[in-house]
Amino acid sequence: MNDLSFLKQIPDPLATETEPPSHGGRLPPSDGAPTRAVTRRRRLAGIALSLAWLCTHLLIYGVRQDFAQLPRGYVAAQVVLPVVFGASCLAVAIAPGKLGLGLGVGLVAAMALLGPLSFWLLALGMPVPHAPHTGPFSFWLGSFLCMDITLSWAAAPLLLVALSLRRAFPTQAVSRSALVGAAIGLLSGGAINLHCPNVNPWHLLAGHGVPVLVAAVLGALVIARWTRT
Amino acid sequence: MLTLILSFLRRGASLERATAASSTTTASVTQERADTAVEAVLSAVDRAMHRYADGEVAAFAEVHSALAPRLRLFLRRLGCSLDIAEDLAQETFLRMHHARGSFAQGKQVAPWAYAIARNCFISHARSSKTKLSRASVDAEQVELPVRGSSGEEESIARQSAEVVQRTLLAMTPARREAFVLLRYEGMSVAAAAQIVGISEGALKIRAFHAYELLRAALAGMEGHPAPGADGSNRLAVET
Repeated sequence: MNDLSFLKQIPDPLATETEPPSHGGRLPPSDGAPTRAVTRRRRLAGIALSLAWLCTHLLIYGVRQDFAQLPRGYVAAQVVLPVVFGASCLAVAIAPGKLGLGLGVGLVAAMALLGPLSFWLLALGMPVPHAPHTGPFSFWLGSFLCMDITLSWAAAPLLLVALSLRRAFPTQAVSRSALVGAAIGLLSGGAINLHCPNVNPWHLLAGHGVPVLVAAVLGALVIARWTRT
Repeated sequence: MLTLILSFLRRGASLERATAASSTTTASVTQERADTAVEAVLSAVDRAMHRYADGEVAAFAEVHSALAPRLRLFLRRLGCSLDIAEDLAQETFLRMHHARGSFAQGKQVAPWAYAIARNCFISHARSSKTKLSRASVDAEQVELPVRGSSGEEESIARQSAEVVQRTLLAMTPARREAFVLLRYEGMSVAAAAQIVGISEGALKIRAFHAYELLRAALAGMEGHPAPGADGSNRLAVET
């Protein structure tokens, strides 16, 4: 079905419709809609502030005490990979594509799903570097606490990115916004992995991984309302 | 096709830049040539939209006069009445104005504008709780313009135009928009798929289903040969 010339067999009922008299090119309302330069500055500021937000929290709460003892592979899988994948997700979500309407729907949807999924698989699949110590909290309380922190770390970047990407997606607004959410979730997930010393895979899944999914869902359901053109 | 040419030119330009790295003069000349070629590929309305996105308010008139008729007709074909198509076209331009900062550098304006117009149409259909399959136009009462040299030819043309319009309005909006974009708006499959936000394969299937419905409806007309039956027949109002 590559040659679609057969579609021309169907006549066009409006082919000869006469145009109504033109009103001319009315000037748009002078409400200061942002120009491209302003939009670019806002996006850069949004990304910079989001990163600053995460870094400031890491500085305040501190990097995990066992960081120096962790195997490189574990650090790469739990910290570097989520951060790199998150940055890639953000790049794919805001890329203009060939037509200025974003990249392919398959790629965007696949990455929006793979973002949280990869975080979960790495949380469960990586060998535990040392015996998990329970700490002062029970499993559920500890997981809930981490989930809370990760979500609060993701909240401000989600808001900032949503504001800076206002009316940016004329097509695929839901999937691209979900990808933006997943990207923020992955960055926050990487940051909390850098802070929290708990190596229990189920804690990583529930406390650090669930917020990644929540951020992606928030992106699809809430941020999409702002980003749709 | 234009997009392909654009990407080809860009690839060519970057390749040339890489190979001519040793000679600054050659590289700059090559780059200049490539830029000129890309500029030439963009139409006047694309360039006007780029100027408008960069803050030149006066360029809006050019964008409006070039795109308004196309967008109105597109909205009419999706099933809007004349008045609603006019309103939604204005709404489209308002949204384009608000989103001008997001218009990507070096891209064509038409796919972007069509995508926004489609969003306006969907918003309107949802807000007014209009059933898209029985959209805001009554096919029975539409006066369809037709051309034909003889009385009989004109009659067949009018009849087939009415059948096409009625069938288009009766089919699912998804099939209708896929068919309209490919057949009437002259979009490439890639562009239409991007505008609708689905894969190219899915878009082709929707358009094909729409075509089958239209073909069957035209075949059902009394004394009218089915299009594509012998590969040679062409309908009276074909463009």
